[in-house]
Amino acid sequence: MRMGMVIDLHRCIGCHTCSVACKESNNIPSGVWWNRVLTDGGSHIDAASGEWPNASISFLPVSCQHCDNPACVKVCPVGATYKDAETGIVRQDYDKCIGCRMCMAACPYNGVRSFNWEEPKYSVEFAVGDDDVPTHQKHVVEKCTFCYQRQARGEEPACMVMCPPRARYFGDLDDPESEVSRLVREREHTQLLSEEGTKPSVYYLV
Amino acid sequence: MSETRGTRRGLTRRGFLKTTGAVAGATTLGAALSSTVALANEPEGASAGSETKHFTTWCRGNCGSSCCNLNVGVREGKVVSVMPQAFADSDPETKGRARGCLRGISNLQRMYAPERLQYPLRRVEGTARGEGQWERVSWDDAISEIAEKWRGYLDEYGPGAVARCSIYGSYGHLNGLASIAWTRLQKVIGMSTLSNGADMALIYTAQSFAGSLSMGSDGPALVNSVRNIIIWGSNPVETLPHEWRYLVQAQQRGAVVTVIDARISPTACKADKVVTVRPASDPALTCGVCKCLIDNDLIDVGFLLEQSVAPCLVQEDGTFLRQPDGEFSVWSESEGRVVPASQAQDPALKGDYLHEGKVVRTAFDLLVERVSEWTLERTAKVCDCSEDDIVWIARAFADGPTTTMVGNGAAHYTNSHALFTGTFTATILSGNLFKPGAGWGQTGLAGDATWFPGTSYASPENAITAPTYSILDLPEIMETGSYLGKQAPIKSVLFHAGNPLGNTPNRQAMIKALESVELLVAVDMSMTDTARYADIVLPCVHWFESEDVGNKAYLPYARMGEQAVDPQFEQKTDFEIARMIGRAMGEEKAFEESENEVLVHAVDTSTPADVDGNKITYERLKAEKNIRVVADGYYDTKCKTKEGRLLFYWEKPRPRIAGKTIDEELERMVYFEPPGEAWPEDVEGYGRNALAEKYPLIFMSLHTRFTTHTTYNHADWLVEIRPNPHVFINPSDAKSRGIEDGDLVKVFNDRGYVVVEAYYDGGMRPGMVSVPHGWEGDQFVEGHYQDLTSNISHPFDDNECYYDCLCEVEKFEGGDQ
Amino acid sequence: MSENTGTAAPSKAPAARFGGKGLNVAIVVAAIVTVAGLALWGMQLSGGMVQTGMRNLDSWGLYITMFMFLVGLSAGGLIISSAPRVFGLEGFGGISKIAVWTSICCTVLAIGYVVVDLGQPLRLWELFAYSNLGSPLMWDILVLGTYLVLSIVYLWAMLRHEGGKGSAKALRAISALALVCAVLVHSVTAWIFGLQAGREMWHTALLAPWFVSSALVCGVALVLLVVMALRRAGYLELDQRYVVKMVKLLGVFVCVDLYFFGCDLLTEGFPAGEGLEVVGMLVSGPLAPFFWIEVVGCALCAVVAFVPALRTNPLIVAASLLAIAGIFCKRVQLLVGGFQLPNLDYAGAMSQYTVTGWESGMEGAYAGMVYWPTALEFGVMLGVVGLGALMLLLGLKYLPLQPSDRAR
Repeated sequence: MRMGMVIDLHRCIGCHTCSVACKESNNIPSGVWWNRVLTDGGSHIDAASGEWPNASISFLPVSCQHCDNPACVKVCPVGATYKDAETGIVRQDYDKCIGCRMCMAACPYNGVRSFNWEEPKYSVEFAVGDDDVPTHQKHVVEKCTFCYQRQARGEEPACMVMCPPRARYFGDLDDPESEVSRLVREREHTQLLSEEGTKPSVYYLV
Repeated sequence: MSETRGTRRGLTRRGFLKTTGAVAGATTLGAALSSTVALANEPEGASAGSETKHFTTWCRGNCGSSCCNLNVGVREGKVVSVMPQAFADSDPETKGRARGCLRGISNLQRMYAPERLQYPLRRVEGTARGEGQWERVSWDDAISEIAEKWRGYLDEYGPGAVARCSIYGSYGHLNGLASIAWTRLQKVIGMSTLSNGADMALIYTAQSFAGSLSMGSDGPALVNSVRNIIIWGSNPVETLPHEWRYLVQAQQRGAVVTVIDARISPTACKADKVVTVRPASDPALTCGVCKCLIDNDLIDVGFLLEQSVAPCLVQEDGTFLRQPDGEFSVWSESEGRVVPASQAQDPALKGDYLHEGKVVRTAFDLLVERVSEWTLERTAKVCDCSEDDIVWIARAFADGPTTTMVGNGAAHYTNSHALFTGTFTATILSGNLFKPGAGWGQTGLAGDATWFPGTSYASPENAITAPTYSILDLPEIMETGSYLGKQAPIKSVLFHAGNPLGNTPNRQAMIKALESVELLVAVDMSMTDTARYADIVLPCVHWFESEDVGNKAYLPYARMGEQAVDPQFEQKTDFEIARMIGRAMGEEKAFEESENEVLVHAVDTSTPADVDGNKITYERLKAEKNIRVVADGYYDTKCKTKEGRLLFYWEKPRPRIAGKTIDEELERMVYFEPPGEAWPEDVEGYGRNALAEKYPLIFMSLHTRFTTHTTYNHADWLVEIRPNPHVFINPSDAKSRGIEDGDLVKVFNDRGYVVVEAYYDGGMRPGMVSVPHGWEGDQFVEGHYQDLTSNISHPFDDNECYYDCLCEVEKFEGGDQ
Repeated sequence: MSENTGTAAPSKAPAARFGGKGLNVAIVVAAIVTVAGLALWGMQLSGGMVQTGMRNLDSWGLYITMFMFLVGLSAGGLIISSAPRVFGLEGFGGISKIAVWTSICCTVLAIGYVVVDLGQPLRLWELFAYSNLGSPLMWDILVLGTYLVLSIVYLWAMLRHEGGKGSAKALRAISALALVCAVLVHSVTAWIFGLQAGREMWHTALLAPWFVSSALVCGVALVLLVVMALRRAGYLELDQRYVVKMVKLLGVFVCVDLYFFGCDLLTEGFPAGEGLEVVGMLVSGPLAPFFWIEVVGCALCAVVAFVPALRTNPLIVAASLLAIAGIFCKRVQLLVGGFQLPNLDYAGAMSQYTVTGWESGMEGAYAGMVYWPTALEFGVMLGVVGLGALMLLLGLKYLPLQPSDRAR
């Protein structure tokens, strides 16, 4: 099994709902974003590039690509970053991580991995989101888990639940009958920095 | 090295999209699109683990298409998750109409924010308003002080001395802007209304001409039939993210999306065609489009004759020639005489006719005459678009079914009501109503509401009527003590479900006017700009802290808003607060019923019945949580005006605020005049505004995804995404002023200023700048963006004209970064 | 070639003059600096690494720069001392033990910098419990550990040999092993960076040999400085011809290193693609000061090394310092340069953890150097240097490291 995601960039409107849903469900500390929606335009969110009226703006949601050939897993000296054998999901063991940040240097998708540079802080005083997410720790690296805890309950990742334009699809890329496999087969698509050879499990329909 | 890392201004690796992976060929595209809405099976919506309890409720902010169904997770008495809730009858694959957005989720943070009000507060005696010195008081003390003073004002100055001011903060039936409890109190004690003018160009014009905020199709009915979608002056990609999926589905099915906007917005970048126009020239464009439709025979004559007032005869005084029973009259071609509209076999669309010695003309002819000056050439010049653009839009109307989404982005000028008359007129001319895929309205939604709980509680016996004042006239009222020639003493104002000092234009003038109001009472969840300025602040519950139903639907279901958690501190519901004040003012008899009794009665007397014709009761709603009232294929099939015909001609136009003087002849149909201030150039005989000499830039406060007005503006998660107030400015405008991307700048005019960061935005039309809407005073480096805006308005609609404003921008020198 | 020996007569000062009060003061100062560094490290661990200048998009900083740099420094000494022995050539005047001792100190420092860079140093034991042998970082830890042990064994063997124990053959074998290990330690350190395809600046096969050449440059320069200082301090005697020999060697290494740099710049820049950004960043971009200090410094060093008239003691010291500074600048370029070119630089949610200088957005954060250390980092860095100085001085005080006849 290789769980993967397909994101339709025609549909994505850059609303950040997936980012916020991710933040809520995984009780992500303040200042940390596992799932970011990038603006392909000017140098600020929602600003267009170019000169009016020939201006342009589009959006690109980026989180861990759960690569089939993950650069991070290879370099982790203690195996704190590892590929889940059953699902193909790249996971992170907070208790094991020694905080060397080798994985962050190796991952070409800069920004998808986040180190807790201090004791995690939160905007509310109690843990929010799913009750079975692991506790965030200071000085360890963390990132998107494809909401492993939700999958364990048979649910889809939080970013998909809320996606207002329904731009995300999730499923088993190894199963030729799955929606994601079908979309990858039939639709024009691209992958993030495919030349890095990481074989991401996230596909973007373009 | 791969070409996928292109070079942008120096060091960058953008443009990964240039490389595309395997392409199976465009031929399979259509097949793939047929089921694009595909999510994993999750019938119960969103859970948050086994220890979390779930409640069903709905979002009550005013994004324009609110009321998303929400699943609220609770652990240990706290709300820990907010996720969209699928409706019980939804297809588990597509989740049906379930929706939500980043703002909805952020309610969790609103509830537990430091700005949240916990106890009744009273301004410390001797300190100035807005100084932030508060003392905690008991509810009893607060209520008795309010009751005593209000009783005094009302006894001394008569009904209306206490004014009620609410905006669109919440759509709860008991608790919110139209709360039946506050309305009951208002009528029992005789409060005047300080009427908010936000979006009144749309609301008043649509209600007057169409009898509804919108007409047509929505959701699946729209997706499956529409051929052209015209998004006029709005940016739903940002403001209504949860609606966009229908548009993109329609687009992927082959519908053509045309965006008309001054700015190249994110929505424009998703469109098939963009028509850029001069800000505030939109009504002229509608005139040009109507003329183009008529001149090129693109009108739907059958539809016009059958459904509209087009063939109805108008007398010289401008009123319709009516039959003795009030019915419209038309000219029968075959009989060569005037006949009742309902009996005509062959009514004439055009022509002057002599009837009983007087000339009568068809309303259609009057329209033709009205738009006759709007040739392609003239329209293109005034609107700064091409003639082809106008023809394109006309063809988009003609090649129906066409839905026109008219948002408020182009509706914040003194001339904006004509944008709605104009687009509605074009919709009627092209026959784009009463069929699937056709429509017109604020967001393209069918109807403005589909389920209405009973409102009898809001109509008490012995109601005392009191005047309605436009809040935009408050400075004048407080200065002169009179309104439209009548005494208008306002001694106290109650603010609830709104934040006028954060949102209403010309904030400094408003603050000055409020100075002479003796008692300001604010009921709110949070310490808003308005609450900060009040004398007594009463904390109310958040939406998830009480049980309520909605008086707006936006979705084809009746929804129960369950109480998920208890109020954390001493917050009370609007209902309870209104009831306490009423009772303290000696109206115990009027406020005997409990909140639950009133809610049960409202639901039990609601209309319509469910989609199967079964009555909706409180008991049912409580058990089922959502009950479908309208089938998904629904579209409007008949006119909602009392005349029974679609109006593009209003024989006796009335202003929104009774007593205002308007040019009746002009207001009967679409027309163009330049806006009050935002006209910085000489165009085709419309001279530029004199202020443009000093202030050449049009100031806007465009709406974004991150707030609904000032709601959610302090939600931590959203603030993290866009931390600082900023002004979007075209790079050429910025550079000519020596402003770099990211510089701190001062945006100013004679009314006020605000200090924000400048962000280059190539999508901004040169000559316009925008400080995104929704920030509050404590978030700016200095000043407030509503200090710049003007309270000028049109007497027809008393619309708040936020963008009818000129300004200048300069690099900010001084102050601390 | 006429040697300029006039100004550089071997010091006649007796070895006994070395040490005494000055050395003790220096040891105390070094100890204080070390303790202060430890205290700052404690602060970093308790208050969080948010106090450093490192962030998610520039996740390594001064510590890893120093790690790279010190691994390089460590090698020079060992190679200088072992290479002649391995290949049976004439050595450098009996400075082997000093050279190896500086090497050992530098290796300890290098390890120290990795430790202070860790978020969870208490979990270090996991390296041995859960070793992922596929990780270059793991290779480096193993090789560096072996290298340290081998260096110590080598020093011990030399001392034993001087004391008349142990065979020359065994010593030669150990030195050969140490030499291989020294070359390996640089290559492996280079691979930590060079194997990361995601970083344009790092990803080149040249990186490993280049690390070796850089190590030789700064290692030789360091040994030169140390022995010249010790000669001046009266710790040892050294014939100037050995100094000159080392300077010439330094010149050769510097030229090789510059040659590698030239090859790399040409390979990056010639296709005028992505690599041109790297060249631009170095030559005229945010890293230009470091680039030019390195290039000019190394070039000047080579001039001093190859022009006999310039081989005066002060100029040799200056040339060595330039070489060391140049290689340090190289390390800065390498480390910061790896982060200076983000693969995805679109505007997105930025927080205090995203990148140094996050407040001014991606554009602002990358306008200058994307990373600059905080005072705390400089403090911890100095603390580790203090530890090295302490070790070096203690070694000088208590270990018999002076050249001996037999060693020569």
